[in-house]
Amino acid sequence: MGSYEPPRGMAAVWRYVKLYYWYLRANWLSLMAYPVEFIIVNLSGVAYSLGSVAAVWVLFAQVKAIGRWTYPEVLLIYGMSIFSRSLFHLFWINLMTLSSMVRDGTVDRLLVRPLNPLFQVVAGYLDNDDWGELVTAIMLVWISLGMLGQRTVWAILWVLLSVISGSLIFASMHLVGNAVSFFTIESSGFSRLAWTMDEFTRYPADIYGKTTRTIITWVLPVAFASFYPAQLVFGNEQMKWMAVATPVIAILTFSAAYIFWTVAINHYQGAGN
Amino acid sequence: MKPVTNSETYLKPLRLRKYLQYTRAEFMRGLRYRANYWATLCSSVIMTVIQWSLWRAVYINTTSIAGVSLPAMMAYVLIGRVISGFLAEPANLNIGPRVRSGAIVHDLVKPADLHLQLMFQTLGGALFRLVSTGLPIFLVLLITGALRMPDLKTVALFIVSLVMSYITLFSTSFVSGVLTFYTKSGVGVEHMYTLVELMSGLYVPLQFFPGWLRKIADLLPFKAIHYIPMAIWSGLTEPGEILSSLASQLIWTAAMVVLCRAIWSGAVKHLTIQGG
Repeated sequence: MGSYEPPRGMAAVWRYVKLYYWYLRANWLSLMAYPVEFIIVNLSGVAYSLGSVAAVWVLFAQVKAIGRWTYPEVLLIYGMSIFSRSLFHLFWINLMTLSSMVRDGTVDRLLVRPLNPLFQVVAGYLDNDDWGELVTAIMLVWISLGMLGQRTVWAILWVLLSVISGSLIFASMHLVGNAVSFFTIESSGFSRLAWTMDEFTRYPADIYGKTTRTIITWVLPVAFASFYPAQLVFGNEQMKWMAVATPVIAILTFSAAYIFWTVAINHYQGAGN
Repeated sequence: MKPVTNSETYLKPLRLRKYLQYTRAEFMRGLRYRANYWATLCSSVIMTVIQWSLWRAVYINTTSIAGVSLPAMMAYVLIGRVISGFLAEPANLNIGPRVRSGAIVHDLVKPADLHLQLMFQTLGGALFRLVSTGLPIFLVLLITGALRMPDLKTVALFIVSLVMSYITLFSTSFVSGVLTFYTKSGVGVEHMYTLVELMSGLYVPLQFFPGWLRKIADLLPFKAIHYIPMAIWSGLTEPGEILSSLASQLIWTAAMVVLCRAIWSGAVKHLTIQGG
């Protein structure tokens, strides 16, 4: 091999940012190869996500609140939940191919390139069919912030930071669930289960019993994808610090998942010969 | 070559045992994926916990919503969770691409009617989900007292209703699958299935709908999928009205089956013209 030395420090970060731009560009162009198909699929995606939102709307035609949460509050939590989920879905979906890459050996190709393997997996594909959910999520957040009288630059920036954190939390769970395939070849049932965990984030977390709430706050901290960060927008003094902790929790969760990934990939010895 | 036209095989006496083999094979296929099984069971438990918690929180502020009390509502949503696997988002029946590529010929030369074959095959998966995830959740809900058995007559009528629910659900996805042949896009009803679930009353009973939405729901066949059996079980349908409710479900189910046959024979004719 030649004497190529990857840059270090800030130069390395900048290199990855540039590379990510080029990956995204290539992915986007391949999505746009069939623009009509892309638009039809994603319009049906809007219909799909609106179907379940409509259930909330129908419910609030009959009641004033869920627990102690009013319509705009529930709507913001719901909107942030599917915002986080769709960001994860759009940008991290390629994690799901990990076990098949391990099985057919294509994962070896990632290991010999002078780039972080996880980066290559994640940047390698941009999802084609979940843009509709993102559109619905943005509409919900925009509408509910207006109803709450909170359509300010700060609130919007906070929601954006929160949903990026939320998508990182979802990504962490799927990262662990799929990295298991380095040990077992097969992907774990946990990966499939992680798809259901985001259902917990649709509604206010305090409607659940104590055990469930402890799990979704401290073990699989999905409540930080919507419920806790939304408290800052509501001006809830009691949960202010839980809200502000959102990005920290996301980084800690992702770091833990990344350590697991590193251990798993170092354990990997190839699927056969 | 001329494919066996479907009307010919369909008019022959129904050989039920032949089709039940498809059901059995599909049921057995479910047994093979054990990791999937635990994940699916856990997912169903999670969804049940969420629904239970949600409706408890909704009823903290009130005792009756649109005339529905908390116990009736709980019975409605919890039996909904029990049967949700049985009436899950239908398998992708995208017949369109198979018709266009010609692969459909392999299905048509078999001495079996494709419509019935798919209906019985899909039933196998539905029954597997009913037994493997619906039943354990049902038993736990009964033991914990979260769900109570209505009287035997209601249970029997509920089961009759459930059979028609399955046929309506299958017909919906079959029609949508054949339509992909005409629309030439891969988007079928499974991509908008939440709208079907909403209009079928899976999320909230139709009583909650605002007037205009209720009218739309009444004009659509989807309430024959979830609302009618769930309302029978939970008592939202008064005992005296169950039979008329079942009669309307029968009409919708029959209409959907007729629609399936019509649209399918249309597609097959179209196919022979293209191949000629």
